[in-house]
Amino acid sequence: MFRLLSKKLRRWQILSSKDQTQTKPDRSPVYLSKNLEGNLQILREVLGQSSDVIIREMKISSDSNVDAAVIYIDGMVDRNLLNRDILQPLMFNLQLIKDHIRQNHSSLIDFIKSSVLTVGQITGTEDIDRVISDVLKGHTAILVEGVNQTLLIDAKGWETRGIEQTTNEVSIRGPKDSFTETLRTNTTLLRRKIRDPRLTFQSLQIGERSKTDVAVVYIKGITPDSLIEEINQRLKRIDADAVLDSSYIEQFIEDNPISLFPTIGYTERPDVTAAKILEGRAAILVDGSPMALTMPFLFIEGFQNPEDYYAHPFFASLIRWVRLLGFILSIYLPGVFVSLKAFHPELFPTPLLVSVAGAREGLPFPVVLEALLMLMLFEVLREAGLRMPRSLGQAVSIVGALVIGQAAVSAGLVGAPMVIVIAATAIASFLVVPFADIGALLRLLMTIVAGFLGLFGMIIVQLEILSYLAGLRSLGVPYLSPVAPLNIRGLKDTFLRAPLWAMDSRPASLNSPDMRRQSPDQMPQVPKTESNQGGNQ
Amino acid sequence: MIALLIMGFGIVALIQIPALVQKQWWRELIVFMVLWSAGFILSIMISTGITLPPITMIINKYIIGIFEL
Amino acid sequence: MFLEQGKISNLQLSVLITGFVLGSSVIIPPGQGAGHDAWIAVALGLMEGLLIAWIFTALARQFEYKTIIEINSLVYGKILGKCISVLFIWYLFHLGALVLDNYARFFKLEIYPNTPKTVLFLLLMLVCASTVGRGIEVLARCSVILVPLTILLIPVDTLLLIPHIDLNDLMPILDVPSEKLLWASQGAASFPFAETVAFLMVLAFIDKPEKGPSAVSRGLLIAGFFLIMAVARNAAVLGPMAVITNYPSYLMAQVIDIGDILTRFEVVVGITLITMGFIKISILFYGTVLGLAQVFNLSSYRPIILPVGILMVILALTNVGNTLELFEFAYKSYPIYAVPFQIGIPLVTLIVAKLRRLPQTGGDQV
Repeated sequence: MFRLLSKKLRRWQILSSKDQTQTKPDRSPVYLSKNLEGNLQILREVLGQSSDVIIREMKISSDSNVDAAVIYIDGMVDRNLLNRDILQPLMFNLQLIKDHIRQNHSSLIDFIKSSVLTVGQITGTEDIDRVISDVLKGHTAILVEGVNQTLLIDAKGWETRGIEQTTNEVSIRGPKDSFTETLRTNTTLLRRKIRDPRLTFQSLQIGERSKTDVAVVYIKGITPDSLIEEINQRLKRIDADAVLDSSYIEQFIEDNPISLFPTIGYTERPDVTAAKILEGRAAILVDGSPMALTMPFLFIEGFQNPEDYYAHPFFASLIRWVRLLGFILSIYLPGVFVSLKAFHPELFPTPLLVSVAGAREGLPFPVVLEALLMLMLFEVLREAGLRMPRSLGQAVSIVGALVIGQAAVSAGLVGAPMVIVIAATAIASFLVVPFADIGALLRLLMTIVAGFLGLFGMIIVQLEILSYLAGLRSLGVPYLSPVAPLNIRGLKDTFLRAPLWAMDSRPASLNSPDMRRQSPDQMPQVPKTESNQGGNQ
Repeated sequence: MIALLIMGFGIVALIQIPALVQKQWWRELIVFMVLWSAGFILSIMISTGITLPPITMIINKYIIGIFEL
Repeated sequence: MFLEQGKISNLQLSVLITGFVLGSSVIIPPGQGAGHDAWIAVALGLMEGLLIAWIFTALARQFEYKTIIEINSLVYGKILGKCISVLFIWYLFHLGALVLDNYARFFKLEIYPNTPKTVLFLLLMLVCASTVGRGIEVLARCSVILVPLTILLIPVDTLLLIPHIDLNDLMPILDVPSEKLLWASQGAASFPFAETVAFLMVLAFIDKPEKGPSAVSRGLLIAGFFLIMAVARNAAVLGPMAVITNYPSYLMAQVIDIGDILTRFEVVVGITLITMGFIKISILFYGTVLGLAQVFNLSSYRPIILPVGILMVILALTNVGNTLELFEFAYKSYPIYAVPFQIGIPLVTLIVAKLRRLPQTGGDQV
C-alpha cells in the first residue's frame, strides 16, 4: 500500500517536472551562419532523414557562382508556385542579380525578397527554430551562400477535402456548406458571412508536437472582452502533446470536465457559427478539424436548430416544442413505464392496463431488467449501425430492429409494449443532437432508479438533475439562462421562436456590450394603396 | 443494520474530514465532529430499538397542557 | 460575513416565497377547523401573514439586509444574541423535520405503503442537502422553473373538477362560530404564511434591496390567492367530507375522471407536491445550516450540511405516533408554539433595535 502511494507520488513528480525542462527551452535562438553548407548540415540533422524533406541545391542566376538551396516538404507545397514563382525567377533572372552579386552580397537576400520572387507572402528570419517549424508547416525556405538570413515563403498547397454538404446538421433551407479540415478555408467561409472589419481571428499555436493552429474568432465590440480574456487564459494553459481535433481543446478548457452536459457547443456549419458570433459568443476554429467550437453554450441551445431560423416562426416554435417534449419523453418514458409496471400498476388507464398486464404474462425477467436489456440492445444497434461499412448498414438495421425485436417478443423474452416503448424512446432520442449521449445516460439512470424506487425516486433524481443544471455555468453564464435566472427578453428564442423582425436585441445572458441587433420596427409593412385595401392586412 | 449505519456515517466522515483537515479549518472540524457524533449515537440508539423522546409530541403535550385547549 | 456569495433577484425571491408557502400546505391545507369557511380563514390568515411579513422585512431593511443571526448579535450583544439565534435556528430545524415528516407520511400512506419511512426521508433530504450545498442561487433558479409549473396546476385541477363542484357546500358563508373561525385563521397565519419568517435568513442576499418588501408581499399574495382557490375548491367538491379526510387535495385529484383516460390525475398532483416540498425543506435546511455557521463563525456552511441533514431525519423519525396526533399538533399547538418565533423574535428585535437606534452608522462588529 505504501509502495503504491510512493510510486504514484514519484510518477506525479516526473510528469509535472517535465514541463520545466521541455516546454520552456531556455536556450537562446540559434542563428544561421553565412556558410550554406553548415546551415544545411544543421537542418539535415534536425529534420531527419524523412524522404519528403527536399533540399534542392542550385545556383542563383544561371551563370553566377552563388550557391543557394531551397528547402521544402514535398506534398505540403504548391509545386506550380514553387517552380514558376520561386525557382524560375531565381535561376533565370540574369542581369539584375549579377549586378547585385557583384556590388553588395549581403543585400542579395533583400533584393531577392523585394524584387525577384513573385509570391504573395514572404518573411525573413535568422532563427533556425523558426525555419524548421515553418518548413514543417508547409513553407518554403531559401538559403543563400554568404547570407545568414533565410526567406520563408508561404506557398502552401496540399490535398484537402472540398467544401461539401453538411452530414450531421442537415437543413432544408439555408446554406449547405460545411467546414473542412483546413483552417484557412474555414476562416474564409466565416469572412464571407461576416464582412465586418471588426471580425477578428486571434491565432494561437497549441500542442507541443502537433503545433496546431487555433483561431479564436469574435467580433470586437459585440463579444464581451471578459469572455475573450477568459478563453485566452484557458487556451494558454494547455500543455499537451497534440491537439488533433477541436474536441481536444474542448476537453481541456471546458468549465466542468466531469459534467455530462456540454458547456461548449460545436457545429460544422459556417452559418450557425456566424450567427452565434453575432449574438455575442466567441468561436474557436482548429486546423485539422471540421467542427467549430462555440462558447458559451447554454442548455437552451441544444434545442435550437439552424432550420428554426429559416422557417416560418410558428412552425419553428411548434418544432421547438416537439423537440422539447420528445427529449423529455426519450428520457422518462422507459422509466415511467417501468415504475408503473413495478410499483403502481393501478395508475395505468384501465383499458391500457389490460393489454399491458396481458403482455406481462409469463415473462421471465423483472420489468427493470427487461427495459435495461432493450435499452442496451438499442445502444448496441445504434453504435453498430454507425461504424458498419455502408453496404451492410441497411441490412443490420432491418435485422436488428424488426427481426430481433419481433423474435424477442415471440420468444417470450420481452413484452410487446416494452418494445414499443423502447422504439418510441429510441426515435425521440435523436431529436436533440447535442444531448443525444446525455439523453442515453439519463435514460439509463432513470430506468434503474425507476426499478428500485419508483416514481418518487425518479422525481428525486430529476430534482437533483435540475439542481445540478441550475448550478452549472458555461464561461460564467448560468447554464439555464434565460429561463433561470429569468430574462423575459431572452425568452424570445427559447420555447418559441419569435419572428425575425421581433428579435431586435442580442440575448441578454451573453452580456454583450452592444445589444442592438436591428432596429425595432422591422415588421414588414405593406404600403396601403387603393388597390390592396380590403382583404387580409 | 448497525453495519449499514457504520458504513453510512463512515462514508460521510471520509468525505468531509480529510478536506477539513487539509484546509486546517479546525473550528468547522469541531462543529462537524459534534454534529456527526450526535447523529451517529442517536441513529445507533434508534436502530437498537431505544425510542428517542418524540420532541414534537412533548411540545404538543406541554402547550395543550398549559393553555388548556 | 461571506458565507454566501450568491445573489438572488426580486423575482426569484417572490417565486421562492410562493413555493415555500405552497410547500406543505398543498398536502395539509390550512384553515382546518373552520369547516366550509376554511377559505375565509385562509384569507384572513393571509392578511395577518402579510402583516407579520411586513414586520420582519422591516427588521431586515433596518439592518440593510443582514441575516437574522447577525442582527440578533448586534441588537442583543454577542451572548444573548447568539442564544436567541440558536432558538430561531431550532425553530427552522424543527420545522424542516416536520415538513419532511409531513411528506414522508403522505407518501407512505397513499403511495408507498411498503417502503420504510427512513428511505423516503433520506431521499428527500439528500436532494435538499445537495441543492443547499450549491448555494441559494441554485435553489432560486430551480424554483423559478418548478413553481410556475405547480401554479399552473392548481387552476387546471380546479377546472377539471368543475363537474363536481357544488357551490352549495360553501354555504352558508360565515356560519361557523367566530371563535373557531378566528382560531382557524390564526392557524392559517402561522402555517403557512408566517413561516416565511424563515426568509430572514435569505433576505440578506437580494440584489436590489429597495424592492425587497414588495417582492415578499408579491410572493405571499400569489401563494395566498392560489391557496384560497384550492381550499375553497376542496370544500366545494368534497363538502362535509373535507374536514374528515387527511389529505383533501389528494383525495380530490383522485376524483377527477375524464373520459376514462385521465383517471389517475393524483399522480401529477403528487409530483408537484414533491417539488414544492423540496423548495420548502431546502429553504429551512439552508436557514439552519447558514445560521449555525454564522453562530459558530465558520468560514463555510458546507461541511455541516450532511450531519445537520442526518439529524433532521433523526428528529423526523422520532415523531412516532399516528398521523392524527401530528394533526392535532399542527392545528392546536403549532399556532401557539410558532408565535414566539414568527412574531416574537422579529417584533421584539425590531423594537429593541429602534430603541437603541441601531444600526449605528459606521463601525459595528458582530
